[in-house]
Amino acid sequence: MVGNELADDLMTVAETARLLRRSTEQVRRYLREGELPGRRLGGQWFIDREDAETFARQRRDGTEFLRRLASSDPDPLREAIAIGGSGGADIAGGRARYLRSLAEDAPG
Amino acid sequence: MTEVRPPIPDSGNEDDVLDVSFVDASALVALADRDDASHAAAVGAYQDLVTSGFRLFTTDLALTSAHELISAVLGQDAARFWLAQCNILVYRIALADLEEGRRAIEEGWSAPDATLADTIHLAVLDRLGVTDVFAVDRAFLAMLG
Repeated sequence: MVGNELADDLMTVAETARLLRRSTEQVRRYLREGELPGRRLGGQWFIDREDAETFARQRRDGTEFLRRLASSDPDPLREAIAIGGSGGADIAGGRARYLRSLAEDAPG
Repeated sequence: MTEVRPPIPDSGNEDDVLDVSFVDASALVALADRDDASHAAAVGAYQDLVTSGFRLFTTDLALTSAHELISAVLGQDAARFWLAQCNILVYRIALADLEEGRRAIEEGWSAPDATLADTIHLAVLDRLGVTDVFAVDRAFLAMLG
């Protein structure tokens, strides 16, 4: 089906599940939904080792970030409110419109 | 705003959830600029999030963008002060987020007026499983549906 050299770079769903510490069904769901790149060979899913390792690293980073978030400042912007006045800009209209307030205020 | 409840990592209890909201550059600016048309609404929304126990984060991209806007419109001193006062957790954009955002623009499956920053942030939200967004930018909010 695949040569030995190619096979070394491919992981099965079960191997990927062990790497990600997820169930095989969860890995198949990642594959079906396109979250994890994979390819079907002979009716079975295979995942490039590099893709699986990148996916694992990204999930670890996300998990670590959520852990940090859980213990972060619960009111982090309290001192960053109303620190200046534009004279009546409108950021809801986008960056360009917000910056336009400068031109409208400019003399001449 | 919609609600998101990603699990608290390794809490040992599947019922433990963390209410999380991404704060985009427009919300940071609307909070900082007391004269902005959305300032009062933004302050109200921020207070609601805080009292409801939401944990807030932004990205390096959004923080940089907000600083640039505040510096241009409110002045460099105000921008320096603002940056020093921001104690919000910052998520560092990953290369994969950048690539996904770029693909969305290049391949045309993003909203027509979406910016690269918008599509990158959508990639970040998707990967972290966060669906609650604190933003006032109408174009970005429209993208979120």
